[in-house]
Amino acid sequence: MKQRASWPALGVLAVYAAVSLLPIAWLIITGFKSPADATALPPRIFPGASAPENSLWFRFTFMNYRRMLTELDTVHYFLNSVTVSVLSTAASVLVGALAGYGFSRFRFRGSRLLQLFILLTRMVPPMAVALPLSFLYSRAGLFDTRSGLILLYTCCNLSFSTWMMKAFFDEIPTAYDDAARLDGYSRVQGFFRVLLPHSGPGLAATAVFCFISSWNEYAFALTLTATEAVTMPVRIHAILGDMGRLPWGPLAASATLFLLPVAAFGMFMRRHLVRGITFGAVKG
Amino acid sequence: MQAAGLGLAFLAAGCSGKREAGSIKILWADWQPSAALADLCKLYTRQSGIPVQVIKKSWDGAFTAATFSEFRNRDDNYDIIIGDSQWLGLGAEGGHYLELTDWFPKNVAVNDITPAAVKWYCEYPKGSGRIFAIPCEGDAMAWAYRKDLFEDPGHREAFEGFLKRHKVPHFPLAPPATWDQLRWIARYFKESMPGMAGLVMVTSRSYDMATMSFEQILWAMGGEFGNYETYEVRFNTPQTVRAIRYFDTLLNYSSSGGRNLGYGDVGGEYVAGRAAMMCNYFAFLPPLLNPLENPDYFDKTGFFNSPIMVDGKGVSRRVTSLGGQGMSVNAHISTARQKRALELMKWFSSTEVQRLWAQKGGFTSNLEVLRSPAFLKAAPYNPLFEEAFGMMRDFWAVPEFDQLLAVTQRELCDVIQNGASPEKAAARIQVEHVRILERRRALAKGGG
Amino acid sequence: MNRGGGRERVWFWFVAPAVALLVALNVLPILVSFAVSLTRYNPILSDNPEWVGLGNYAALFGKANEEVWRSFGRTIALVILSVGLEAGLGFSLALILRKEFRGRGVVTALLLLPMMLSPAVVGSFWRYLFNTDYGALNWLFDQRWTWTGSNPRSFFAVVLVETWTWTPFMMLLSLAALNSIPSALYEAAEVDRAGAWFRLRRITLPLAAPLLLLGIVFRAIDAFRLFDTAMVMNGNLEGQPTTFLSVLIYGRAFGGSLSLGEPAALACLMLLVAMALAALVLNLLERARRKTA
Repeated sequence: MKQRASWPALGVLAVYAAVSLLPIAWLIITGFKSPADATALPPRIFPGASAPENSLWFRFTFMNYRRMLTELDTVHYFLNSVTVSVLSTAASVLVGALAGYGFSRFRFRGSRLLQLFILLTRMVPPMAVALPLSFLYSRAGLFDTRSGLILLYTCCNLSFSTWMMKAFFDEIPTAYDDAARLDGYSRVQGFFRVLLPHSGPGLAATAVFCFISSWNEYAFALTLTATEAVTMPVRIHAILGDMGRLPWGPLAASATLFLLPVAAFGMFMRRHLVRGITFGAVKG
Repeated sequence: MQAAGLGLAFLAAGCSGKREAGSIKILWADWQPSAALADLCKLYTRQSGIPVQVIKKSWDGAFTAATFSEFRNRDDNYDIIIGDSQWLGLGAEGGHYLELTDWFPKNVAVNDITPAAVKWYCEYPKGSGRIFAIPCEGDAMAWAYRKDLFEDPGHREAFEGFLKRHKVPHFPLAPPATWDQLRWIARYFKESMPGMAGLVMVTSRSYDMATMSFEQILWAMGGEFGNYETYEVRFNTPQTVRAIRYFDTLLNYSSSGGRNLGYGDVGGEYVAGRAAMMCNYFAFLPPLLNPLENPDYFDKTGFFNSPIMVDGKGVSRRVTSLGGQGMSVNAHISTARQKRALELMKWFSSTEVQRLWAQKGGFTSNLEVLRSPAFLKAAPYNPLFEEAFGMMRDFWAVPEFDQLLAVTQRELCDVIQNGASPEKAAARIQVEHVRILERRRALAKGGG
Repeated sequence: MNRGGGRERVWFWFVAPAVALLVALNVLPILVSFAVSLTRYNPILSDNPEWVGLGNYAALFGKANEEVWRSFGRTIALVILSVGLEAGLGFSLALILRKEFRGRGVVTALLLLPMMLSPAVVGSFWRYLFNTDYGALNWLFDQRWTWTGSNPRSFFAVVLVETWTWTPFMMLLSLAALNSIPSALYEAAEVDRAGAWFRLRRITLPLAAPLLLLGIVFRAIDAFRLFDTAMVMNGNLEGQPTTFLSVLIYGRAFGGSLSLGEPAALACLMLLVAMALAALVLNLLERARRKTA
């Protein structure tokens, strides 16, 4: 039994939605503008073939996308982002599922303490560890490598994936474990053959969250890469320092390309969002 | 105590496996010259079979951070670092740049290079004869202006009336001979064309930006930072205060955002047709003549060097801020890689390659190329560049340069962006510079 | 609770990989950071760290280091202002979204968009909207305001972007909190003819409070360590209104050539504060779990 929303309330909502979505729409449009149109006042918002003085029309162009793909070498950085995010997501979901299962099914001394320790690591400010990490990475030959970033992002997401997967495993009846054992599987075999396949939705939700946070990560990507392993967020911001040109067009084009997959994923996983942002504690 | 020992032991243990072979990696800033260099190096790859990669980092902090990170970790990500002239002290004293004192005269025709270039880009400490780099990109501040506006009869007439109204002796609307003329022209365009800035200068607090615009005025007015050999600071003088104030008034004729512009912003404003004159380093000028980069004004752009300043006593000086970078070998790479890098540098500094370098838009320090008719005719700013070599001066190049620079930037921008007092700024910079250079000054005295 | 009856040793192999990774990439760096914070160490100029004990910590409290405390103040101001705005806006939006109307699902989904996008990328683009001469914001207000550099407005620019990004987060949590309130309570209130204000104060707020609080503390921790938005929008120079703690540490540790001892000490101090906040989160999470379980 739900109340219907009143018209003034809907009006407020509409205004907020417009304010909230306008910057994103603006970003997409700017990707198709030439420098002159991007700096024109009043802002030009409608795509057209020509742009008369003081009109709202801009000349629709693909020049930014062309530049992005040719001289900005975006494909290289985009693939870096994809590689690092996908592999670190797979790793952290797997390691997190193992740990989550361990905490869900076994009682042992220090279990509670370990869980709290794992949660605590999520709260460490990146800048509090970035400097020593750059030392350690440089000594270990991991500086500016994709493997280095994959390892670190796996670790950054572990806290989340462990807690999230534990919450999901808590919901799977232990009867499954018993059935697996009756089939002659060991604990580890049972985990991989029976439990993991049964936690599909939980795995997917956890994976999407890990993917988004790796995809968007900036602080470590900035401090632990130099050339080879640079990811898109660092690269896109660097376009601002691109000399002697207005950066806005290419910046908006790259950003559009970069933001789209995440927006799609996020929409897809809406159902699990509440659960995700509370580390599995609250069902949405 | 134990934790500290443990951690540092881990650091010092350094299980770093040196990276081998691959392409020669050159670290430089993200701007047009590095694109030109990448292009030039394709030729080297064709001749030698060794791939070369130019890695570009933004001037807006990332370039410094990448270089310092390489130094700090004594890492071997890059073979060659094309570091800013002010970094020479840091690279040399920290042992990050390979010393080239013996290699240099044997492999580079020293007499073909402008002495000013060797002094500013290669030698540290100045006057010691020790070499840590070869000249790569020579650079200085210069001006671009909109020829179509300057030559427009309507503007010329209106400008004459404008000067009369302000009771200024007549001079033509043309590239200014003095800073005062420049200021009047800027003011004219600012006041007569809505939405148009009379001039745009680099004024951001990032890195060295505002200081580079300001220091040419400082020196032209007879001021100075100090003595680069004895490390004596001589900044807090009436000339300095006057120079800061002069710089501040110039910016009244810039755009509304004109007190916080970076190197890229200045070019962007000009290309967008929002400024009549722009002051920036030579390295940023070639794109202005490129129809792809500057579609609306590529054929309407002229250039001039920083003008003369006539001080109260009638003494006139003409100075420009030195920019540019030398090419250094990373001392932390394996000897095999060092040898490979030096081969490339030897190739790069030969006169014929320097000629190609100039053709691609690089600014060479090779005298033969600089004076060749082909070079002087190749672009309208080339003769200006040759002239600029005689007007260059640089900021401190000691290892503490970044602290000195940070203080200067902070106080200077406090004046131009927040309206702080120039007198206080000069006094504060003096005090802090003295403090930062204290140890070095004592050493110099003890040694001398 | 002994699910699956496992008192077996095999738990170790399930938990060990996660713990090992976290120790290697979280605990070890923190120890190294602490070790460095006890020395004067400038690897750019010399390889040898010089032992100074707690000297760097003392220096942080010294008068020459005003910037540290100003930065601390800015960070706290950011936390209070942005998290306050996010909570207020998010909760209000949730009150509307709880009601029935057509297209509710789509609108909710679209409103969540900002929090999923990379702050570094979106923040870079916000710089365009905040441009003095041709930015959309200045045009809207018909002004030529400066939103960057040392201008106080740069702080509010970051607050605005933070609020824009994270209001959906608070909205989502508020929505979950509101949905967990049994509708029987409202029906009872209706019978008693209680006003809207009474219902909000006596039913909605108290019952939604645990989850709201959890969200607020979560956001406070994130705002406390804010780096990407501030860095891409206004750089890492000292003395700017956007030089928050993380930005200050980054600038001193990575952007300069001074001793790393002091930034390391600052990093340890910051970690301490973050952990205190984290303890609060743990507590609240536990309570939220018990409530909904």
